[in-house]
Amino acid sequence: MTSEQQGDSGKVSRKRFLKMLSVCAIGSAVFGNVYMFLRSIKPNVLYEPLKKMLIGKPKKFPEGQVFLPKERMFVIRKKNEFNTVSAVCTHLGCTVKEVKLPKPQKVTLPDGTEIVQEWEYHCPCHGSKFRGDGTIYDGPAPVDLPPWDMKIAPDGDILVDTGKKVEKDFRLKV
Amino acid sequence: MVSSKKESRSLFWSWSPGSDREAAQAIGFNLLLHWFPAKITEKSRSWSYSAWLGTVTLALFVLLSVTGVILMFVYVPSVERAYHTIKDVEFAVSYGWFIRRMHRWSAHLMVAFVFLHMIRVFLTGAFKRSSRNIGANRPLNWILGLVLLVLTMLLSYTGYLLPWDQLALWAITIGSNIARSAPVIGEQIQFLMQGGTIIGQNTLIIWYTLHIAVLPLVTTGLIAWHMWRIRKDGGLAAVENIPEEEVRGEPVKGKTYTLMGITRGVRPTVLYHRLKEKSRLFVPGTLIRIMIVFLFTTAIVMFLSTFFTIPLEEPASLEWTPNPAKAPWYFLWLQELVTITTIRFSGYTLNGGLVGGILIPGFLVLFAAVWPYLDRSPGSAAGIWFPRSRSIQNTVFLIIIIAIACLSFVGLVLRGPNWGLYMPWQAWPHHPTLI
Amino acid sequence: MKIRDEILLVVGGLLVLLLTAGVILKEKYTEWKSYQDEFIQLVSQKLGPEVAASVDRGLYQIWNPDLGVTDRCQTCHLGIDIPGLEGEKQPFATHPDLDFYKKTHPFKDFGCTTCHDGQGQATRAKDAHGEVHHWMTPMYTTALAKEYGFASTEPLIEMNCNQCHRSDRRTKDMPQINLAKKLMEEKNCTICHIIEGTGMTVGPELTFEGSKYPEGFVFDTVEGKKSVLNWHMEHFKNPQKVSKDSLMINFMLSDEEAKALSLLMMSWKKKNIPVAYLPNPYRSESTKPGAATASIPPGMEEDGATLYRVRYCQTCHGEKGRSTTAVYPSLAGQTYWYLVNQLNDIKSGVRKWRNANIMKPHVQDISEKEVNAISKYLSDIYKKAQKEEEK
Repeated sequence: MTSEQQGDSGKVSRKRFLKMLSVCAIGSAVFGNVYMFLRSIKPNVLYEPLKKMLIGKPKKFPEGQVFLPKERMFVIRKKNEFNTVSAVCTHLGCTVKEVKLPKPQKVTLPDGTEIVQEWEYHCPCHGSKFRGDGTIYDGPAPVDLPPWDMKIAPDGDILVDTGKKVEKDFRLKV
Repeated sequence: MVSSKKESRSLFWSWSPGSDREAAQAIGFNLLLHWFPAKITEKSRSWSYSAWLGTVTLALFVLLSVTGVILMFVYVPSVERAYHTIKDVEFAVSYGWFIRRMHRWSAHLMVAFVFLHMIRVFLTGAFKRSSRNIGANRPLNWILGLVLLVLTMLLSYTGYLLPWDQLALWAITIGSNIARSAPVIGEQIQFLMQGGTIIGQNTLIIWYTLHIAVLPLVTTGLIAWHMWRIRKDGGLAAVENIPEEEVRGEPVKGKTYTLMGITRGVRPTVLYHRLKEKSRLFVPGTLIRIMIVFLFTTAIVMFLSTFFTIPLEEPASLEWTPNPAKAPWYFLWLQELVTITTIRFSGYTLNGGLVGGILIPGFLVLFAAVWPYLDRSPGSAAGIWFPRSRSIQNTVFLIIIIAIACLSFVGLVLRGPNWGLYMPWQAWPHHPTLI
Repeated sequence: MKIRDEILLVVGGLLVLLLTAGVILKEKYTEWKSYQDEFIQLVSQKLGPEVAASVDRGLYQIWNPDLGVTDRCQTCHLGIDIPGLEGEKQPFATHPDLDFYKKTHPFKDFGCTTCHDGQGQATRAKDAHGEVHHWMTPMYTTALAKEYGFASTEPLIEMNCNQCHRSDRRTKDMPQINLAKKLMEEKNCTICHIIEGTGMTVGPELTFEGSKYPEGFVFDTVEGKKSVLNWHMEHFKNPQKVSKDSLMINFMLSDEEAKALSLLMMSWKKKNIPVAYLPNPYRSESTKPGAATASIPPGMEEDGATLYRVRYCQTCHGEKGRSTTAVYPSLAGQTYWYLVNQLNDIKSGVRKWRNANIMKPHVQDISEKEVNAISKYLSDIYKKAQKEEEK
């Protein structure tokens, strides 16, 4: 092979050119194929419940609190105002339990506000404890239980967007 | 070609060696290249001698493995979900339709090319015992090749079932009932093959595991052995009849290595410097040819996958059989045979499944396996296309191949509903629909 | 020689590269993406940029494993549940009667193929409409309907309606099936056929006639389209012609009647429908407004005892005003004016305590006369009993 390397520079550079061209062509072809194969593994459709969940008409919910196990959230109704608290513990994802208090309790939150709560949320997995509005006060959970955004969908159902957090004082007025 | 960058030299120097010495060293130092010999004769590496059919088959196997793994990310081997996941591959997975087509086209081509490769090997007498190289055992490699042929067909057959559509279910039903027609043990064999008395969930998971794990592993191992045997046999049979220069002294004795370990014996390596033909370093020239073969194989498979659809019929249902129900194309010659080989005599009936499905192909495979030991042609006939001394056996072989091809053609093109014969210009009766 | 190999290498590489690029482009400019672009433009013009911004791109899937639905139709049919696009060309038009269907057959539960057939999983138009080989249930189109002499696809869709509404005696908006069911009652099909467990075996069982495959029928003497639906139509018109040596009576049915019965046959499919989706013909009407008073016998509109029962007071407060459950007080013998005042205060919202919120819905629409009558009845209960004892 080395004997064939001799010759005028024109011949060598043509070989060189062809080699470069083939490396580029094959390289990009390989790259393109690898891209196709990897892209195909990323799912385009999900077989899961949607993040934006329709949970039913407002009149379906009585006064007080309702736990929706499939949607993993608590829906709280006070007269015509609704809000949700996520039931997914912010520590490692277990579903928290509602603990009804014997009588309404006044508590002071870390930021100074006072709320009156009729229930609390306790997590069975590692003992995290949350106030009625989702504020963490004991246990390993790092942050509060988030409330989710709510609105009324065109056909009258309540639409909860579990991809969007809101403030604790958010209320959906019906 | 000397690569200019020092960094790339250190990693990839063996692919583009700077000197003859490096080229020879490359074989020893590079894991992949260790597979190949340091030198190779011009004839062995020529396009026209072997048409590189074995390499094409290997390239297809690689394509199948890669596309197969990708499909495994989506496919679920359950009778309730398999069909649904294939539909998802067709419509909801990015490039899914393309990857599935590549897989199926590669599968069909691999069966075709492994067959063509076998034909080439036979016609060039490359299965023959070596008269020159003591220690070479080309008949063994021929048998390995036959086993690989059977494995290829099994891989294709197990894969055929996986879409769980009508095409799959009934094609496998036909094959399974052919197995059943074996005397005495037929039913047991069918029970074991199917994992039950019907083709159902058990069958699907058993065949899925065979298709993705067991058979590929065995095939990979055998391919490796098959190619290693080529090294042990001193190269392709093309080296057999190249005249040698005056040999001084005895054939060189030396250590030789088998799969089992180190044994003493005579080294079967062809000593290239004694041949009256120019041989070349394997790296990089022949490596480049391998890459060319891989590229063109990929290109052809991609071309077919871009422009030609592959079937997915109705979901599998044991309640109705499509009309006609055909085996995969590589078994259609068998399906033709089983149609015409049901023999009735004095109250006894020999099921065509037994005669045409087991006895005839079984006999052919066994006869092919022992032929190298029955072959009486001289050693110098090896490695040449259509040598005079082998004209009879080549003719007979070709007749058998053409017969198989004709039967396949009839089954593929001319058979219509109720297995009737329809010329290509004759329309099939209209198939009724629901709505 | 060497140059030739190098050229081959380049050619091979370029071929693969070209094909790879081709496939990647084909995927990038796939059919549904262009429909989505067109739709967003249309909506932006017609309904404003805000609505256009709310339309998500990408594959849209309705997945309901309970009904076996995996429908991706909305990927192109983006306007289906957006009111205001009624007259647009397909695939952008709003679903007809959108409000009705959203209330009764919400798309997120039923998908599209449940009613319209087709290949829901497909994401290319021709495949999704089922107009391909090896898909047994193509989508109902006007062209297909015309083949059977129907003006619209609605009669065909009724075949799917009746898969769930099979047990209804009659169903609103299903005229073909209703006609067929009426004919069934008149003709007594079970004299010869077993249907849902009852009948005779003169003819074949028909319970799941709609699930029979085309291979199960003989089409030799069928004149028109070689489909199972048409087989039934011709068979109902003239059983002996279609089914040789048939013992079936020729009912001299009109074309309309034969077609209706054929649609009924095709609707009887072997389908596992979860209980939650079965229409309930006996659904309690009690929660509808005015439902309670609708069942009052004539002349008893002001009878306290009747009202006490019919207005569901009795359910909680017990028979004859004697409650069995502590939280619902016994009302028997309570003072007349006390009862009247409490009822009025709960209705108006003045009284908010002690379970007034439970009572409120039940007294929303109670009239003054009814309040008086019920209260009189309850306050007089013991007096009545005393009188009877004295007798």
